Amino acid sequence: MSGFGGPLATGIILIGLLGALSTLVPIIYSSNNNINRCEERKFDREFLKMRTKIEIVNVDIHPNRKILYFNINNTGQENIRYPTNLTVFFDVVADEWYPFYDNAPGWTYSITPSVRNPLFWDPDETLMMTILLVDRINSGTYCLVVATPNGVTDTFQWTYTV
Amino acid sequence: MILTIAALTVAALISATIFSLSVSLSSSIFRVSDSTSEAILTEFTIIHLSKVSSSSTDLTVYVCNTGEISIHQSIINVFYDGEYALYNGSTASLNWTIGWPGQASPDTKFDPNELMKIQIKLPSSETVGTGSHSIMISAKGFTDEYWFAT
Repeated sequence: MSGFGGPLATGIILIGLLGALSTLVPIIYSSNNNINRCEERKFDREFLKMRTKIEIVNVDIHPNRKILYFNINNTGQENIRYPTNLTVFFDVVADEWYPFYDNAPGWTYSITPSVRNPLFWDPDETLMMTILLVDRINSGTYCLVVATPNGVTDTFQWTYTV
Repeated sequence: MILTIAALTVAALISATIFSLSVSLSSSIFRVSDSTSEAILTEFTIIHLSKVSSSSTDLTVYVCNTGEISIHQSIINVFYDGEYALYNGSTASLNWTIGWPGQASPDTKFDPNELMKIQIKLPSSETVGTGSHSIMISAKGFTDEYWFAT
């Protein structure tokens, strides 16, 4: 091989290498960025979860024994957006999931006073949850479980005597 | 001259091979990145286990999708005491069924913020018995485990 053959062959290989690099580098870069962004979002979720805490403090029973009022404190450091997204379980006969609904069986809520964000349940605020039962409760031990949308739960068990 | 042409041909072949390998590698990197991202964004939490006693023959757990992506029900795996449960299996086997509380027309996807009800049925004639037990649910490489005692 003489003349320009050698440098030309090297040039062709270099063009192939450059083409490969120009294909690979952006993909590696964007993939890495994508994974990092997902890791950050996961970290944010975990951080939010660590700062979320609720505590069911007491129960009050309506004289008709079909309406229960629970006071629940937001003892965490984060607001809970749209409390309608809370998940509620209450055991009358067996453990039962209760929908957000203003008729039995269901639950509604009010936050008093809701000073900062009217739609949110902010830290240090108390949410009063009203559980509407189909049948009146009798003497027995009952349990309320409330879960926030990010999976933080609190359980309140109490005994009622008619 | 012949040698030059041969050298150029070999160089072109090497160049084309390098380029096609890089295209193939890029596609693999893209797929791995995509599945890794999905795995990172997958999260669910077992928030509640219904009342259970030593004589229970089935168990009901409620799971909330606390992650950021939808999970198809076909890739959800359920284990009770480390044993794999069959989805919609026969009554003779450890099996489980799915429910979607509050949804009139549910689809087959477990979406973010959605509640899923999983009922685990023990093989016929078996009961939970006494001791500590575990329920494990996994999907897309994410696992949540719930321990309870009877």
